[in-house]
Amino acid sequence: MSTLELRKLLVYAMNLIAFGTLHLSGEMNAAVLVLFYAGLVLSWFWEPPRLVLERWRLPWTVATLACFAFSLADVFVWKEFFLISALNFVLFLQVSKLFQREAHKDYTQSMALSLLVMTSGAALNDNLSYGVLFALYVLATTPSLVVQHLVEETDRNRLPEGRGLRLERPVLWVTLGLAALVFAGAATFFFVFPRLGFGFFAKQSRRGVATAGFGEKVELGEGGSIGDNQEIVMRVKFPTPPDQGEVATMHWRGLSLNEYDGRAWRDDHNAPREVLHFDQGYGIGSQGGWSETVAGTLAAEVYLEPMPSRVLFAPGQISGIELTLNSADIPDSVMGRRLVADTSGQVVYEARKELGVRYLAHYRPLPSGEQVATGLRWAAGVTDIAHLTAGMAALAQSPDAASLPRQREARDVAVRDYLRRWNALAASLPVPPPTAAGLEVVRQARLHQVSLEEGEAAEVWSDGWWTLASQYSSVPEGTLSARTVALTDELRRRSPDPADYARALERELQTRRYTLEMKQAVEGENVLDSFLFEWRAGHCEYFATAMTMMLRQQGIPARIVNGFLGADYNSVGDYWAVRQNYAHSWVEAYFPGRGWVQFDPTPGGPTVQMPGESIWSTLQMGLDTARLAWFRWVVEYDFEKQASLLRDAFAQTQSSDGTDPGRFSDAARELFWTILRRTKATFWEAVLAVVATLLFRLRTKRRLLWAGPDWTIGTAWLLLSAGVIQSAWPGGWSGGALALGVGVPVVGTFVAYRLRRALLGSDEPEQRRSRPRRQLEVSGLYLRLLQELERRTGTLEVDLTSRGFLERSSRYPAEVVAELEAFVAVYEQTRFGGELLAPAAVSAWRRRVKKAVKAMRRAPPWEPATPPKR
Amino acid sequence: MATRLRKLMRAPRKLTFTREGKWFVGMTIMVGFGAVNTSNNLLFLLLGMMLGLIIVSGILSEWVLQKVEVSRLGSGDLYAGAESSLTYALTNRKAFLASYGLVVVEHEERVSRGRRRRALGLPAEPPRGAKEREAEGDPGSPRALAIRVAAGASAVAVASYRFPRRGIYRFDGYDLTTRFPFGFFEKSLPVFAGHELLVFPAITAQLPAIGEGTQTQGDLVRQAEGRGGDFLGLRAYREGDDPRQIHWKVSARKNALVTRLHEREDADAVAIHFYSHLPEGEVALETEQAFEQAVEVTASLCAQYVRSNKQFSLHTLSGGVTEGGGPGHLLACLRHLAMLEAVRGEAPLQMELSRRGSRLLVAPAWTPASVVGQFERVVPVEAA
Repeated sequence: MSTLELRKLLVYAMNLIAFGTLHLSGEMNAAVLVLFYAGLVLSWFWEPPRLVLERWRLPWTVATLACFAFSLADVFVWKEFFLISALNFVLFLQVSKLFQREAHKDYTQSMALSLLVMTSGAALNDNLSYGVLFALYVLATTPSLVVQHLVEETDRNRLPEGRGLRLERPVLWVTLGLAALVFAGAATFFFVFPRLGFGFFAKQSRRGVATAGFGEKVELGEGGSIGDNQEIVMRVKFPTPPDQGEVATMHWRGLSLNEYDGRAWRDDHNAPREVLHFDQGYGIGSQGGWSETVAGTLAAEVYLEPMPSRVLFAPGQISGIELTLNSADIPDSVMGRRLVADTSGQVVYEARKELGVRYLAHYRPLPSGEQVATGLRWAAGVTDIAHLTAGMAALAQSPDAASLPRQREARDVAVRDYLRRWNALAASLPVPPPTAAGLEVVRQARLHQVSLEEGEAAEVWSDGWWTLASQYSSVPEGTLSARTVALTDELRRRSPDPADYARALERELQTRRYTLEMKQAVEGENVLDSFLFEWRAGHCEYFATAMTMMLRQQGIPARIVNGFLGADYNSVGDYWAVRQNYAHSWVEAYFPGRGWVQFDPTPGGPTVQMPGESIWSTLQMGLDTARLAWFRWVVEYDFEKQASLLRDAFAQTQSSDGTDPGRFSDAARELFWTILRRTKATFWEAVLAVVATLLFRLRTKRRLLWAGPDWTIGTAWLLLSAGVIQSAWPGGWSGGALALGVGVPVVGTFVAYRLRRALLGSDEPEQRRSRPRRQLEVSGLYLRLLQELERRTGTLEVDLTSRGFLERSSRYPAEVVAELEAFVAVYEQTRFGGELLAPAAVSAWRRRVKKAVKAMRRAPPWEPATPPKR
Repeated sequence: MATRLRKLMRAPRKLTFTREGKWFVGMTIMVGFGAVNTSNNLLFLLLGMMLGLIIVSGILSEWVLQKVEVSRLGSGDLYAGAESSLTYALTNRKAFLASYGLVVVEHEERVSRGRRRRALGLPAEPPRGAKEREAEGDPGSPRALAIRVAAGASAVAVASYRFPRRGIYRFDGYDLTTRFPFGFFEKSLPVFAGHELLVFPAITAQLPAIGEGTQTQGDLVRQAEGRGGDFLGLRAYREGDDPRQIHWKVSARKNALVTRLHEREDADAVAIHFYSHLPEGEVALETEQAFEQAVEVTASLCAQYVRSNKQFSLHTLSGGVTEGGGPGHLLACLRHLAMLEAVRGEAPLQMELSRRGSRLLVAPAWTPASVVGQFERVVPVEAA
């Protein structure tokens, strides 16, 4: 491949890679993609001498102007996104430049355009694909620039006639070395450059996951859009590894919604909860210090992808949050972030940057309905509160009184008095009060819209139940049909205890079927009724809504909770991945003395996937681990992380006494040992292979370069590859692993060899390559004769010419000398005269030389040479 | 370490941006501005790559220039207007690192450059910008490129150059420059090493017709140097002369090689006269060019006579070369013509006529008739 061809190839590679970042962003129009690729392919052949570029200058100018006008119209008339329209124009310029490759500057401009496209790609594509393409771009750009520079330099310096630019192999290796240097430089600058963004035009952000099935508003009939989106929304590590079964039933609590309008749920919490900022983290509703806040809690380290909702998830009620890169000495106001919590237990992370969040959640798991029902059942019959229930019932029978303020006031007084007495009764009990009567009070109070102040409620309900009850008890009119109410009454009759009732209701709902293919409700249709009795199938929101409403209907405060259920284990990255299609809704009900209890009426088993059995799933896990690292350390790298790295570095320098050297170095060391553990045998196989190769190379004194299909290197590759496949193959060896282990290096070697040949040419020395094998063989025969002569004479001059050889051989018998003369003539013709012998002639000479050598050996010993006369 | 640092600091370096470099730095600033403003880390990544390219470029260009020695090799005979090759040997004294993209750029001495530019019809002082220089068609100084000089090895770099006019070209020294690896910056290491090149006048293939003069052939004295005849005389040994004809005794006495001259029996000697005169004061470029043309015609005549194995002598207003033949004689004539300066003064100036051989005059347009009248044959040279 000539230097100019190499330059063309590299410049095309740059353009292709740059465009790849746009293609993989998914933002480009399909027509643009097709046109660009078609243009790229066509332009490759569009060059002299096939055509005269001069003639096409005018059409290209006209087309460029037209495209520019179109782009302007696109922005100002059709109101398209400016960046995309501008990009379309740049892409046109890129293609048109490739069609007009005449001078060196055209190649330079083409490179500049590809850089512009790369820059645009940075705005549109923040996925791992950009990272991979960036690495390739560096790999293509560096040699491109070097080759372009040398080509230009050759032209500028007017090499003498007949002396063209020929890049030798070392130059090409140097360019690749330079690419590695540039890449290292880029990485260093990337991490070191201070991230003090001014944000005049934009803030740091990255594209998050568009969560279908999870959001701040849940609407019945629209939740079917969860679909099969497997995008990961968060990745979790547990400091104390839980059981797989435990993770399977883990409900990642996010939002809790309390207001239902008959169609949709929304969050109507307006009671903020105090968030205390300790040195270690944030305490949610904390009463004491940090240690009290996290006492008795479990922990989960979560990396949450950016989402429209900024709520933080944990498999229970969050007590404390540690932002893992929290720089305690930098105020939140400077970092542009804060945590907001409310009484429902949801915690929202508000930040200036739209990035993923990494945090350590300290949480208390909520008891399940099953657990609570068991606990409460024993106290069910302790108290007789029938008279209180009757009193309340009497109060309820005067609905007209509510319209009169005075009567209403009297009724409120009565209710307060009633509550006070109920509270006194409850306080006198040795155990938490049974809930039936109390719940009935709440139900009646809500029914008659008794507006009690929270403070008053707190007096009678020490645990603030009244407040909760007032927020979580409304059942909009018409939500529950008569037969639904009948069903709840029937269930309640069978299970008078509220916890038992809740469990019974959960089991009843679980007899329905889970589906994402919902029927469309007609206008005026009672959706819950249809779901419960007609369709008998629905997705999680139907189940959760039905249960919440049916609990509230029986006076049990309940709310719907939105989050995710279950996780997949990623054995490569050693974390749990929660996917978007695990979005889920469930129910929380409040029981006095027990607090909030979790119920999940949706049928179907727990969602959990263990590492797949196929190599494909291993690859996918590896890819996701790489993606996580990409987002954490590249896309979301910021001032905070810089500060953290710096702190770690200082900690590293100050840890000579064996204290914690810092998280980053720990992580790096752990990663190294993990890799070593995982690769096990492979590592040693690789070491063996490399050592064997080195020894072979040293012994044979050959260069350590990939020089064609070499058996030593081939074997080393084979070993290495087989080892890698062996360690990556789930479940140990199999036929497939063996086939891959052998096939990959063989095919890889072949492809690498062919590519190498195509790019760099043959590895054989110039001298040898230019002469066919037959010619070399004649030289070999000559060498044999030389050796024979040397054997006879003892020594030969290093620079002995063929004529000298004949002279020195003149003392052999005449017939031998004649044969030698004939051969030397042939040798000179082939070696220096450029003559090529036919294969048959070579064979004949091989035989004749063999005979000649024998004759030389048989020749009588030579007389000592007489000194020449002076 | 400190010594090495001092050494490094001592060597003067000149760093200039190339056009591509200016663009690249501009783009880097733009990307950096965008990255800082948007906090888009991928832009920081690109910025890192671009800064990496710049830094790598700076470091490598320094490495490339370090410990490289340049020596000028013989350049052979140089003729005005002809493609010439100036050869340089570049030696890389580094133990491990090869040097790439090295360019040796000769530094023309100011007067020499002025003469060269005058020959091209350009003002004496070149414009500052390279672009402007290129636009006016000035090829600049000789430049020789070596793509790669391996560590501890030498490489030959050849500058292909066309000297526009005969004469002595003086160089103050040379710049060892490189734009490696990316062509963004040009780093130069000036080396002061004076050097002179003598460029012979061009030898043209076509000569103007030789006109008849006024004198008759009968006046000719047919004495000429040859092989077989009587002893003719002695003269200093010239390159190309037969070493067997060296007169050793006289050479030893004079402490310089002296060669014998023999009379040729069939001598047909020619005495080439060139009226090397230019009017006093400022002369037009056309006149100067006509003079140069006359020099070239004279040189071509010399070459032609050598080719046809004839004896000839050369006479100008500033002296000449005694009669002789062969390549050595031609070289002597060309050297004389290369260094020939026009004699300025009021015409007519009388030429010292040769007493031997047929007299031939190369006459520029301003040669007085009285001078022309003394020659048997005249080669008129009109202004170009």
